[in-house]
Amino acid sequence: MEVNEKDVVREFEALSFSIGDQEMAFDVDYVEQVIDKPEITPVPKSKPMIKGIINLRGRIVPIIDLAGVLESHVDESKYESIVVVKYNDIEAGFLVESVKGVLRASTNEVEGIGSLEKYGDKSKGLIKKGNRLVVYLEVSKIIDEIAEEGL
Amino acid sequence: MGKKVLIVDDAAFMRMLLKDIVTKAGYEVVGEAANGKEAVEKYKELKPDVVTMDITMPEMNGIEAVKEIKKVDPNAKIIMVSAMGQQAMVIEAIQAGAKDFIVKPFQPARVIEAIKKVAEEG
Amino acid sequence: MMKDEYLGVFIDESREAIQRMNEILLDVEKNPENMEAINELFRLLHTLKGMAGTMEFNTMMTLCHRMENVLDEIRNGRMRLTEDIIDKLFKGADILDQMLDRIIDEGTDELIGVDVDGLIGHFESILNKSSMNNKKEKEEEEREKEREKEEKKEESEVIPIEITDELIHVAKEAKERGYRVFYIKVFLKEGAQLKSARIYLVLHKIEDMGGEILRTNPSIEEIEEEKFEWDVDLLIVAKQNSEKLSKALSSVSDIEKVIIREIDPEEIKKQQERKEESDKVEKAVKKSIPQESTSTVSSDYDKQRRKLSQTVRVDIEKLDTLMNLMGELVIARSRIVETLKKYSIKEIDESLAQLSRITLDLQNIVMKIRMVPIAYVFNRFPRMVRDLAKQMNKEVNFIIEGEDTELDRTFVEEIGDPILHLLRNAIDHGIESKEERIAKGKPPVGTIILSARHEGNNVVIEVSDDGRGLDRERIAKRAIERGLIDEARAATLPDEEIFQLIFLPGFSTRDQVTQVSGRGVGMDVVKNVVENLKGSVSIESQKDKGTKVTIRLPLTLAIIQALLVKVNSLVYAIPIASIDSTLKITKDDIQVVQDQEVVVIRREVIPIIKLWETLQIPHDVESESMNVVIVRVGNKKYGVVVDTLIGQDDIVIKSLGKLFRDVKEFSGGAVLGDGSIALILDVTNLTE
Repeated sequence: MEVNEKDVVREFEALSFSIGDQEMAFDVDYVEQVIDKPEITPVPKSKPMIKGIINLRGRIVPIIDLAGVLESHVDESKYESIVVVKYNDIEAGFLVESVKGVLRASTNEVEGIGSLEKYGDKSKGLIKKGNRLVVYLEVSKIIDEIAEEGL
Repeated sequence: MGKKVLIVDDAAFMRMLLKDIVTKAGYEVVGEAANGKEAVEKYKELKPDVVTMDITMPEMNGIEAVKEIKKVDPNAKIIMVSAMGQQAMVIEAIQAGAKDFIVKPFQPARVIEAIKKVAEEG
Repeated sequence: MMKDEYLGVFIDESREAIQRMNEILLDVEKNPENMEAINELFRLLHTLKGMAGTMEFNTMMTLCHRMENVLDEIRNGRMRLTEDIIDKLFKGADILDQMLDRIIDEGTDELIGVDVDGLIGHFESILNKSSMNNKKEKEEEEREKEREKEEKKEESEVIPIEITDELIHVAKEAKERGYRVFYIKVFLKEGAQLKSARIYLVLHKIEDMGGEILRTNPSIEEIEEEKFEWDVDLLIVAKQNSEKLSKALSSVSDIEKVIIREIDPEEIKKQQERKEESDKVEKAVKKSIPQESTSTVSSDYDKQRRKLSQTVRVDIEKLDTLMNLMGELVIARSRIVETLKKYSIKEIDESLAQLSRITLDLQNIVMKIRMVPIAYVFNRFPRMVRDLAKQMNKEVNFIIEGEDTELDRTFVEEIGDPILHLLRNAIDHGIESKEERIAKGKPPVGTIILSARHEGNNVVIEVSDDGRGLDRERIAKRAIERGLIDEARAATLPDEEIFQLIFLPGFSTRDQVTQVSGRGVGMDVVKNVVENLKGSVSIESQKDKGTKVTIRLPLTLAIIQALLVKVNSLVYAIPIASIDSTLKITKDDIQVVQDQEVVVIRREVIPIIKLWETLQIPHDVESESMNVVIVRVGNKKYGVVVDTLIGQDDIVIKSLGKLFRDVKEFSGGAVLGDGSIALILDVTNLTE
């Protein structure tokens, strides 16, 4: 029996935050924790979207400039928090301006790409919640892309 | 309580290394000397509990320095810092009264073990 | 099933036994008269047979049983150990090993496509030829055991210093003056440096306490020349009791242990005479091979056997967790020290010093747990070398040195293949044929030495042979063909640098299918593996004298000593192991040679790089004087210019993770005492 995926409505939770003037969200499954932005140690000669590394309870975690990945620009002084995610054994922190909270939505509230083409497969679509428009990001694709780059 | 240590070595790098190791283990480095002559003077002045003594140094070598210091204080506790292949000189230093020796390049733990043992001895 | 619980132990122990069998067989092949070895072989098979029987691996049991029978015939002098039997025993060991593999994979000892019955049949026919019956086997064995027991007992009582009449006289006199006579055996820690000086410290200590040295074994002269292993026997007189002596002597660094026994010289002399008598009798009974060689061999056996039985198997994961926790502890400790420095509270100093010492000790022990003797890697080589040499029709005397040298267990799995490769090269291309060697006036049998030793914070492994050496012309020719170097340059390079060419990736050829190995085939792979383990490899060679390949590995990968340096406000760590020296220079000391900035130190021209330029970070303050860290990469040196030197620290290396795979300049990061991060410079990749 064949099931058309679009017909299956599934509930999900996403952590939403703001970058630039845009609200965005990660699937909570990937999110480990949210921390205040600490001192970041830059790593010379690393990829431009990687801002450096931090010491997270003895672990070394790379910090990624999400705006840079999405090819937009945000004044770095505005970043206040870091969303730490884990995917495929890679732990990484994303710089965000502020964290809004957990968003509950169902898959039928997510609209296909259309206007979001510039994010390519880094985005799963746009969550429409009342008049809020949230870019629903695909963490795995973003991390894979950074890991592959330059190799 | 920290025992006082005098570090004698003509290489600043080795002195730095030793100082770091010794300080980290909770001992107090009261002075450094870059040759045997300085070592004898510093010993009289500072009365350290333990001395780490390099062997090959300008002006006055480590063995001469051990002999001189022993004249001033027969109970002086001196640890020789030797390179590999300086066996004969180390033996000479022991006969002159050195209490122990460590061999370069050394593990920090070895240095501390030697100082600890020598310092605790009556 | 209860059996399963024991399967793991069965497999481990059987493996060890088979490994040991291989070692003994190699030895027996050279000394067929070595009865000790044959006895041990017999015992090993006997044990193995018992274990296999319990586990209901019946084919395995039968094979062991037949092999055991054959050995029994040999040790009882009813059969001669021929080359054919040795070969079959080797074959048997191989099959037993294969059976174990099959047991692990499939749970059965039935091998497919291997003629086990044929081999068992062969052993049976050997046995049939020997017409003697084995009835007395048990009795014989019993008697053997009895004799061994007696031997051991006696050995522990007899003192290895000859008691002369003169000595008895001196001891008597001393006794009258209130002295006691002691026999002391001093064991140095294995790997202790400047052993003679260490023993001197012990002798000095005894004299300091008013004691007197009567005799030493080996003699004082031999001690001075380091003509002893790790232990020395002393006969002394002193007024203290043995407890006091023991305490004083144990406090000398690098002493593993001290055995002290108060003795009566006259009694000892009598004992020694008795022992001599019984030795004579035994010799007459055995009337075999040169006494000396057997006795050294057998004591080696015992040493190794004891070592094996004293090990405990630990889950690697647990070890790694322990190591991680240890790392955290080191960091936490440093952090406390940092914080308290600001307040300087006197009362805490003492406990803090103690905490520091304990952490240091703990760290050392954890490191040691991670260490295993390199014998784990070396063990399999004698057999492989034997087989390869036979296959290639070469005669090789294979010597292993320093197999007790310990190294990080992480290396054990990685380093075997590169070493095997080097050995194969040495056999195939280093060692000449017998005829060729005779023509050159060399000993007809070639020698390959595999050695390991500690050198500072490194483990050094060397493979050397006394073969024909590298052929400069051929290497240069091939390198030119492969476009690795041009002709003009090849002509100017010294031999040493030409030899290094074989490590280049393009140098290897795998297109010749028939070639087993060639110097150069896969040498780039050797280099790669070693460098991945943060080690280095170099080669030296002399025509017709031989070739020596040296591998250097760090002692451990987890915690290293590093020099912390600063550029701008950031801290970087440089592993002490790769640092040659540090120095201060002024701008005027920098010269430019062929577009390269250099400094001249003791007439040596050393290129320098400015760290901020290499890492492409902005750096506006360029002061008059600069700090340079001279680092060593292989045989080359270069200087890294930094702003300031902070000091030395133990750091726990952490990987930067997959997102930094493209950054070659750093080998990892380390969390410092204040919680900040230092990037660890990979000095092999800073210059290109």
